[in-house]
Amino acid sequence: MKRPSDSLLDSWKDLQRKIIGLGERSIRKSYYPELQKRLDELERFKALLDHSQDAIFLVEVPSGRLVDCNESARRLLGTEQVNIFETSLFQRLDRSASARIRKAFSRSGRASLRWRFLTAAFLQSDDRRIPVEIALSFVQFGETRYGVAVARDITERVRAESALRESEERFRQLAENIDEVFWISSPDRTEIEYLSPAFDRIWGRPRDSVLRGPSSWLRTVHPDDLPGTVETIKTRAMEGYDLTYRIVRPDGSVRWIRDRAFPIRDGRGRTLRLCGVAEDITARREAEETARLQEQKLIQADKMASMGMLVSGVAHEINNPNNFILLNAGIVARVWRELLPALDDYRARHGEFVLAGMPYEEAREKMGHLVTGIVQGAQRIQKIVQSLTDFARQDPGQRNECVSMKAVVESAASLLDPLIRKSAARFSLTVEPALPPVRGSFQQLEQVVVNLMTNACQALTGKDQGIEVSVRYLSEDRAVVTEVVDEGEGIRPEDLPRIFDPFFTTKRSSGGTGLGLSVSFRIVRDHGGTLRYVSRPGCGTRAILTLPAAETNLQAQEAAGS
Amino acid sequence: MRDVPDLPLRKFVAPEIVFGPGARHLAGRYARNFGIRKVLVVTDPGVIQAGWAGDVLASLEREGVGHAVFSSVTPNPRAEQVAQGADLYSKERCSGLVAVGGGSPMDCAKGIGIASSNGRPILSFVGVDRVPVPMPPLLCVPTTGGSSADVSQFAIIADARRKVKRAIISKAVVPDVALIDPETLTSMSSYLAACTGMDALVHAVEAYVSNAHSPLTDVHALEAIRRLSSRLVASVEDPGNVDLKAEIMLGSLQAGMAFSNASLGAVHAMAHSLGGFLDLPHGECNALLFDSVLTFNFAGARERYREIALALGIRPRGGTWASLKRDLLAWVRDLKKQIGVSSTLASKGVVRSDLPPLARKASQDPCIVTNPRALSLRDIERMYEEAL
Repeated sequence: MKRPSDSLLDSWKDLQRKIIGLGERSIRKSYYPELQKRLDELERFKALLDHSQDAIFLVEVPSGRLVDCNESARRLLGTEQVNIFETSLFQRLDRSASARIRKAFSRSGRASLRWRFLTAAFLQSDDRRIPVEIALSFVQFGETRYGVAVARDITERVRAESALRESEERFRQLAENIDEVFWISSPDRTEIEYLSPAFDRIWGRPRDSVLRGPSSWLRTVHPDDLPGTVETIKTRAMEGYDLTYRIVRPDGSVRWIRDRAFPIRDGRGRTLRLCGVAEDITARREAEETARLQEQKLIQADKMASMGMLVSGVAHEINNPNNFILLNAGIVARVWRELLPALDDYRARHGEFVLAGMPYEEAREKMGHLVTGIVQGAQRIQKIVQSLTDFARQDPGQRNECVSMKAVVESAASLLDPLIRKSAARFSLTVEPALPPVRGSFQQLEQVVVNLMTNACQALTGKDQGIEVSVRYLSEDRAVVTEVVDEGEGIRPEDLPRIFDPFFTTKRSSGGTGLGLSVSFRIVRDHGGTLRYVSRPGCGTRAILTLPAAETNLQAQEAAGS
Repeated sequence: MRDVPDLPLRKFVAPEIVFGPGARHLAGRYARNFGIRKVLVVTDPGVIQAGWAGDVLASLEREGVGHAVFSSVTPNPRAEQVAQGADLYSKERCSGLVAVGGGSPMDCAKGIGIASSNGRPILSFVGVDRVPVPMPPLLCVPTTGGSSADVSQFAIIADARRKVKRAIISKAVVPDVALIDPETLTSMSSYLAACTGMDALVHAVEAYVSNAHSPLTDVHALEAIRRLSSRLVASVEDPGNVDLKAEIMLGSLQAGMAFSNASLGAVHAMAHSLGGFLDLPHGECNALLFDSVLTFNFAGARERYREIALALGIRPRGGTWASLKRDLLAWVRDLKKQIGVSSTLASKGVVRSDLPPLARKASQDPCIVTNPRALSLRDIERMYEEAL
């Protein structure tokens, strides 16, 4: 008989076997398989702990006695085979760390997952000290409280940190002591991350003022240079740039800045940040300006040299015919003088006659003057030509003598004695007794002093005005200073800058050539000295001639010995 | 249908058992010997009031074993209560269980145990042999005579949402120790004594006629029938008689050892279904269904029923199987009347339309598979009808 529930019965057969207890996993209740599983887990866990780099200690609280530890901890304790469980963690830590852990032990409540961290020196059995970082927490097993101390050897880290500190210190010393401003910014230069202290000095404002806001340093850029600067930064920041611009300091002064930026890139070429060096190039730019002016002067000097050659040639060409004139004019004057008795006789005999369109009587009167005029004119030509030749002289001359300025000044004074007597109400000459010599040409230096004294004499306008000449030694400058001071009319301020220009003269009417001071200036310069004029109209003029003292043998020995 | 050999494969599992007055006071010693640091005591308010839970706690304290108490257990423990208990177990960091009470606290404790050790909700273990990890040590101090949960591989948990009691059957839920103390039975009411007594007797009968019975279970089953049948009425009538209680307790223990290993049959399958539906005491459900199942099953195990009749002390009057069946039924109905559990399903509010779902749920109960006579859904429904 087939019943509807037969299929049900079939499935029940299997179920019945299981109910009897013959199923796959049916076993009298036993903890062993579970225990085995837990033991395996424990073994695995122990292996996990043992393979940890960190040393893990289970420590009894508060005694600090070691209860358990992993392999790394055994290694840290040292290799000797002592029973680690008789030792206390406190014996193996430096005093300060021990104290801190004891304190934590005394404070800790029950089990806590909160970790406390401290660094300590771990004392190994061979007295080596290993720097460690310790993480400390507490657990409770039954009634006993334990501390879990996880110690990590940080020798490498300490070393790396110290190396890093050293490197940072070196960088800091470099960055903070160089004259240039070293800076680090975001790639677009809107955020300044670092600015070295030189900034304060060059910009004249504290770094904070620029570090505060993005792009605030741009506000210090000179308005004229701002558009170009902004443009360069915007377009070139990623590849770096080399900019020159001006900045305006809070006091209004302007400095020239050269600002170079270098992009710092990561491995994939992305720009992480910009590094840069900004330097104050104001002094350099000024030097360049000076050099440019100097160059112009050199060109001028070159022109003068060319002119000098021309002048020498011309002077020669003029001197020859002029010598004929001088020579012949004398002859003409003698001839005229010796002719006069004959001509007088002729007039007495033949009456009045005409010579060169004028009656003899008039010619007899004027002829002497005319001839004298020719002689004087020729002498004047000779004088100008001589001055021109002096001015344009290419040959520096023999300037290697030891010259006593005392002798130079006395010689010049005696040469000019008549002029001085005629011009000055008073004349004094003061020479310091112990005066070192100067090196140069006696004749050229005498020419200079004569020139200065002549100028002084010519400047005097009143009967009671005098001249003082002094020579002294300035030991700190190692210079011999000769001053010629007059109480004359003085030099107008607008004329003062031009007095050394060739052919500049205020005395053309009285025969000045305008070459005297030019020549003097060049001679002084060639001697390594300086010539200055200080003057106020109505108050006189002071000419200051400074020449380096020659190194005497004694001084040379001193210099060599030091 | 004899498709099993005469001596098929069988297994017999029982816990360590201490039987006798004062056994409950050993709970502390056993807990300590198991190395339990803290015990979760699972009980119910009635047991606490009777003082048995207090005795157990005192013994734990004597032995220095910590404890927490979970007492929100109702009759027919629900999955939610098991979950609450498991929460408490882990929160209190317990490492063992002591159940004090009847079937409900013990089943609940079993549920808490496997839910804790496996970390899964209790209803995921419903069925046979589906518990992978054994529960922590479980000590049972039974205070009723019927359930035998203290020795059995059964845990019955109510799925309140689906209104059904689900059976968890596994050797893994056999307790470690049963501390069976007859003194605890003195606190039972006559009605409860009747229900649990009836439950124990049905356990013995169903285990004996089970298609999974074995000589090892037969001994206990028949001895249980003999012991219980001769003392049940007296025990209900004289609740304070400790000697009688001890006999009932012993009978219940023997029935438990038999059915834990031979399993049960249609009465329990149908009673589980009914209990989930009505929330009636398990023993009473068994009593309600006992005679109608017996009527149906008789044909499936006539020789076994004859042995039962002999054990009950019935002198067969006629020589026929039919007269034996009649005598057996008469004896059962007489017993039910004497101990006051002779009501009907209808009187409990069951109507005819409730029967098909009840039958379907009963057919899914594992107890059904060891019923001595093969049956269909319709057969189950018909038996419910008879019990109306």
